[in-house]
Amino acid sequence: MKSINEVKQFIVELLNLFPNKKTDIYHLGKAYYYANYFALKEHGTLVSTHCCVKLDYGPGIDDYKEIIDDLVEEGVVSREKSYFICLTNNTKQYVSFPEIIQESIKKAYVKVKDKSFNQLKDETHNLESYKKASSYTPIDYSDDILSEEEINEARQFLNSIPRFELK
Amino acid sequence: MKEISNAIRQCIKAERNSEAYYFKLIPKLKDLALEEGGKTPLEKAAFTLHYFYIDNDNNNDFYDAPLYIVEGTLLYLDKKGLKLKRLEDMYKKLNQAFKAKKSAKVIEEILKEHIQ
Repeated sequence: MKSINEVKQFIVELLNLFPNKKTDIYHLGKAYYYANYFALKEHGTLVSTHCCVKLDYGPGIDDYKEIIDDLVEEGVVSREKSYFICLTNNTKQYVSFPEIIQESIKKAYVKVKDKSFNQLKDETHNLESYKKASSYTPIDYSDDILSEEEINEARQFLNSIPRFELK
Repeated sequence: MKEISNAIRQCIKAERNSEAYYFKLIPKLKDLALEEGGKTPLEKAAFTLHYFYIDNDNNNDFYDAPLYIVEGTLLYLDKKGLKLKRLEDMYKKLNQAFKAKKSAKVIEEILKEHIQ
């Protein structure tokens, strides 16, 4: 439940940044990917442990339809056409994000705000994490953060030391 | 704490090539990212170990904390130029310290004692 509330708060905070507090589900999914990516790369944490999954048009929030349905039911967002969502005046705070997470959401907003559907689709289809994931399964952000050299460095290090066991 | 978190992640990725295991740690890592955890690499390493195995041990069961925390922390120290020796002896002492719920200072002393 906590992770769902984090996703809802992410959506609220992201919509607050967009002109007219409105965006489409495609920008929402990509922004969720980038917010987690920046949080992980720069602070070693995530906006939420709720998964970002590989969808046909790029990364998206897992179960985003149900989460948006919830937000609509709660009166926090409204739907416009089938793929636009807009923040209403019924503000609600689901969780309180620390500053580092808010920064990551703002960076994600800057990353996606001026891009078209096709630009975002092309950009995210080239991500290593997107290429490696199977359809509708979670995207591993670290595929875009850790290089093969870093992984090999860790492998060599682990091979060179006795393994730690809790006794 | 970001560097330690990344080193832990490197170890998990190197061994499992999957993020699933790391996800179990995220709630704790998230709190850790916001904590004050020492100034020197040794203090930071000791704080991290204390945080995972003692301080943040909600179920009073340190077996819950993955082994990669120790190994990732050692990788972090290695990258900082702090090579450790007699690791079996160090592991034994760390295990005793975790069980006895010793302070971060005690853990730091154990690490310090094993620097080459």
